[in-house]
Amino acid sequence: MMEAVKAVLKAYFTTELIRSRGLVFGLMNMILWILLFTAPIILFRPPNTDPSVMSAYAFAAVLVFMSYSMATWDWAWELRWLMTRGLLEYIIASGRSIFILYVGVLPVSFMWMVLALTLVYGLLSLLAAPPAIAVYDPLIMIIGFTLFLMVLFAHALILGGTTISVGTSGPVMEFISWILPIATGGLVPLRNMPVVIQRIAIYTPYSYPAELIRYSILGVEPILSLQETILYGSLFAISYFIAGLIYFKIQLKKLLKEGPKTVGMY
Amino acid sequence: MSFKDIIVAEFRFVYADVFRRKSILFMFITYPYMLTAFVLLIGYSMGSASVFMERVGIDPAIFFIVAGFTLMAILGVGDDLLWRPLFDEWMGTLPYVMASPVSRIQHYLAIPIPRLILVLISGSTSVVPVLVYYYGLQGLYEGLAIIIMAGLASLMSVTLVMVIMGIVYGMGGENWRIINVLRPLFLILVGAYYPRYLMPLAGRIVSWIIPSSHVIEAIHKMIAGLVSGPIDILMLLGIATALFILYAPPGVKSIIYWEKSKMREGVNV
Repeated sequence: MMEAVKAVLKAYFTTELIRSRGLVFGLMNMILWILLFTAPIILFRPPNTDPSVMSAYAFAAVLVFMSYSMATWDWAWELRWLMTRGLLEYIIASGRSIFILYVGVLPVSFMWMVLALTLVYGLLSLLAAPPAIAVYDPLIMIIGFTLFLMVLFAHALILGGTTISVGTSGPVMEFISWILPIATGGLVPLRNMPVVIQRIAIYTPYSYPAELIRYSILGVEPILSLQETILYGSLFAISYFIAGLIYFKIQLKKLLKEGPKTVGMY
Repeated sequence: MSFKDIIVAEFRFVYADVFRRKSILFMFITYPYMLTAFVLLIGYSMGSASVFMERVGIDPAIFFIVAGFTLMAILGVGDDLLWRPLFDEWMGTLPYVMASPVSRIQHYLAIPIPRLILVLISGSTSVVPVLVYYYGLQGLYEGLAIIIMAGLASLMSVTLVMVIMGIVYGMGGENWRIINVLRPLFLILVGAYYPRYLMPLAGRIVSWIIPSSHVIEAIHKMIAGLVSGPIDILMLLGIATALFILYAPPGVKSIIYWEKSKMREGVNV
């Protein structure tokens, strides 16, 4: 088992970060995309607004957006890649859990995330001012990030499950990874959003962790009281995670019965 | 096989895919709205629309729906060219492409043409409704002019994309990583999201050598009402066309370089 874990970790680390300067090119690509969309946002800043506060809001938005992208593309989409390369069959035939791959995927994607956020921090410092981020409440921050992780895992399980059962296409995944953070208050504090979006957002598991994280690092009050946000957020996150696990297992069973779907290109 | 036959074949290939995978069509239509919502939500929550208008001279909703659409127009056409050799290699069809008697130059010139129809659809469902909502009948005319100009902007990028594509793929190795860096850089420098006149001097200089950036500047001038006469627009379109023609010979050479390097080294199957 440990041998498989080591091999998987080494393989992902080499492919994603070392081979052909993957880390350098990957970070450059990511930073340019972020620059494309954040540079015009700075044009909205009134001259009397503290640029470091605006940077902090932008940093929190990028953090949430990139986390969704990580769950969508690094975790769920990995299964699609395995299918297009014809590797999924070998993993199934090896008799090991499909999740063994994630021993390699998760550390690399978290490492990537930390590096990317450091670069985003630097970029925002250059474009406007260093983001005014502080830990206002460490306990809420821990709760917020724990719930956020649970929601991200559940999100990846549902997308991954759908991918292995019906072979979801890239555009659908892309749509989900854009629309979710927009519609569930992931990018902007819910109290600054239109009432319609606020109403939609509080009925989804995604909004609560984002509200808690923003409260703990930006000091922005959630639209519900803190106790309510933690309570509903925990209930939503736990149920979503359990639902994600059950859904994935059902889809996996279906896959084992019917065989992997033949899928085309992106 | 004549150039017309290649275009017809490309049309069939692209639209069979679009109608089979309706998600692509759906994305083409919804993307400008999603990108607009993304920027506007963050922008409005952190600042104000009036500040943006003061700086750029255009209402942010109009500016970003046009920006989202032009981005999709350029990406829709440019991506098809940039990724085609790689997709062919991954799918294992590159050896057949190389073995085919069809001219590679004609083939790559034909690739963007079917995608231009998708640009028209995307523009008529994004820019036109928003401009009609804001300006009524005048908005319809302006919207149609923007669609035509965005189509031109994407076409004008073809020869430059051919230069880049041939050089990068000709170098060999995991070249998609370089393409991944060049794509967003290109999109920043064309100035769809951040107007060229607000860029730092170095950015403006590099932006100037990209043909599409001149067409996009013409679009911005038009929606900001800064056009004193048709000559303003025609001059920018003229510069874009001149650059497009200027990049054509190196574009052709670049494709030949890629083709020769593939013939020399062989393709991965």
